[in-house]
Amino acid sequence: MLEEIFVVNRLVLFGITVAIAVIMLIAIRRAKKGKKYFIRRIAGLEAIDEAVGRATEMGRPVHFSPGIASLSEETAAQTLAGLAVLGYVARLTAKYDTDLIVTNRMAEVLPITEEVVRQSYLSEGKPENYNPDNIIFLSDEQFAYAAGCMGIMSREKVAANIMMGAFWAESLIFAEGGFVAGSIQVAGTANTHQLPFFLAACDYCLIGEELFAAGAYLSQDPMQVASIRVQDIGKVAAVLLIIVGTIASTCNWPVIIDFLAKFAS
Amino acid sequence: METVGIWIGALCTLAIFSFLLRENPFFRTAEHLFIGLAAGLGIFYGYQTIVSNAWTPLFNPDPGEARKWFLIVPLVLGVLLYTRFLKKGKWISRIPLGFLVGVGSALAIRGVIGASFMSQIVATMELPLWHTMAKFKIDAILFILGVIGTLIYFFFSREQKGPLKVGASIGKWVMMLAFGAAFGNTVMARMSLLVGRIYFLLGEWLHIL
Repeated sequence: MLEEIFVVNRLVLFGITVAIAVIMLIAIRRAKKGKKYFIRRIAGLEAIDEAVGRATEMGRPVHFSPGIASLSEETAAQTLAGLAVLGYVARLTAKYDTDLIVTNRMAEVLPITEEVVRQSYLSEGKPENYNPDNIIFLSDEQFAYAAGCMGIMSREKVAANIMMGAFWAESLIFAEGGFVAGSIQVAGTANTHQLPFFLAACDYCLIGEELFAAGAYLSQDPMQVASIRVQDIGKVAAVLLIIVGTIASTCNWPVIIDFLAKFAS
Repeated sequence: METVGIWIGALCTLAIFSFLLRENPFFRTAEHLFIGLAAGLGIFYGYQTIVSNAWTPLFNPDPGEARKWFLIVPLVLGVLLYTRFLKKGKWISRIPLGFLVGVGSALAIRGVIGASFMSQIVATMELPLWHTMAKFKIDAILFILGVIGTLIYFFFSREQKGPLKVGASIGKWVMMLAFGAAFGNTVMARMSLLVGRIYFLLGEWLHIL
């Protein structure tokens, strides 16, 4: 009967999704009522202020890339997190009258980056400083976009290169391009296979989930911070499950693993 | 014709490599050529995708096949994206964009909970700390400590103090070791790409090899 209604081997995943959604709603509700959740310092994000400050002092532009992922794939969350950081960067550049160049690979991300930057300039009371020509669509071909970014960084002599989102093989090309241009570089991605390059070539780096926490940290929006709290609850649950499951497995009691293999594959 | 292709490929390769010295007109030419070609190809493939995936099954289906009326939804959503060029109707383009963001978020949630969250937990707990009491497997303990330490590193709602600081330090070291290994591995792969390019220049182009 159950098998007719549900895909049984995904029941646990369904249960976890619903549970996380319910806990998230409760946390957001509490945040709306005034409950304040704590979020620890994330060093890489504080470097953004330093990077934009440096660009302002040097009178040179800031370059921002929201990654190369589209909005309709699994890595879309990284692009959305990158756009949250873009809002903060644009507010800083608006505040300090510094030029901001945003390059896009995905056509559908372009209108969102335009809107994010425009809103940031509006919120800082400087809509006249918003320059739509600086929000650029380069190419949807991965390495054409990378070549274009390198060229722009070098020609415009960007003083700060901020890359937040999903990156693949072009990550090191970007980081090297920024280095050649002499810019301070802050990068963040959850694509673990590209993190080594950012760590090696950039001044500051957001590792994995730090990118997702970035929006909450920068805005200090109680609702976003509440969502980080719920993610932490998920991590505690994961740690407990690993400990219990490992002990069970070591004692040759495979009931937990068998259950998860059957209902969480 | 093949020779012309090899010459263009070789000259563009050298122009791109010239960036290693500094930004210069040769690199700029290759860069603009690359972006222009990609734009042209993008338009062609975009047109082909619309014709083969939406227009033909909807309006000119193969004989014996039913029209796929539901394809009108993505087709209309796609057309609505262009309303961003209208001054008064710009807001309409937010509808398909909202749809795209919604689909992306849903896919992300499914991927994270299934592949990243549950599969990682199951794979970790499948490792018994020791097969028998006599055969101690330190690698399993290191692996489990590494996973738990890495999870602790990403706790954001508590200050990293005391036991959390110890756990986070373990996580940080484990991640750096993993990143180091990945870095070395990819550098080797990139070297093989470089060798391939050099072989193309010296072999197919100059016929030295």
